[in-house]
Amino acid sequence: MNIQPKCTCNGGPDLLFCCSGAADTAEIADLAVRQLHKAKEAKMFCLAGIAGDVELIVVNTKTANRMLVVDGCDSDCARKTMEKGGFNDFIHFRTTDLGMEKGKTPVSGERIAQVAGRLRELLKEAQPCVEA
Amino acid sequence: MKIQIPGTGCAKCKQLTEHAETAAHNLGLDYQLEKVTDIKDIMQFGVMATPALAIDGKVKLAGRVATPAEIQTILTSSINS
Repeated sequence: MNIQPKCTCNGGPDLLFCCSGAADTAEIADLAVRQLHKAKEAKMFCLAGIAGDVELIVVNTKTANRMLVVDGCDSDCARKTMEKGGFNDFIHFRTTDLGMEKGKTPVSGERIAQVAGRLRELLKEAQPCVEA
Repeated sequence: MKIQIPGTGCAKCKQLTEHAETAAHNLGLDYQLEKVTDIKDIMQFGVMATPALAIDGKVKLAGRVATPAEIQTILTSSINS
């Protein structure tokens, strides 16, 4: 892992976790999360690392300033994975909250932008989840 | 046992170093403590936030100052693992 660490005197990183599932609504979620990651507005982090209890992923997740967990449907796989890993202090969002219907929502730039916009709003509203 | 504190040298890094020393001393460990302050070296640990605590090269904690008691628990589990 080759990342520039952030001194927590200024707060930890904002982390994004996504189910990145097979459904269209999950793909939209994944691409929206990656959009924020590439724009360096927050950092996408590995949900599989939480599920696999990978020590460095878990240690790094504990440093988060804010965490946003995104699911593509109401199965809530990402939320449940985080909770199973011992993480409960996060904001949870489903793309279906925006009226997108699983299996009936083709992926488009407009829909990705819509979800990305909502994620930005949620991050702005969120309170830090750990003491800086 | 090698204890490393990756961190750029802020007040939290210094505090974590002190707490790690206290914890190791309390347990009567034979240890080497190293402050890793060069950013390139810090990046090798893969931590997203500093200060961090690594035991024998493995990151056990990052982004906060743990208490000496908590570090003692980490050290003890590292010895037993």
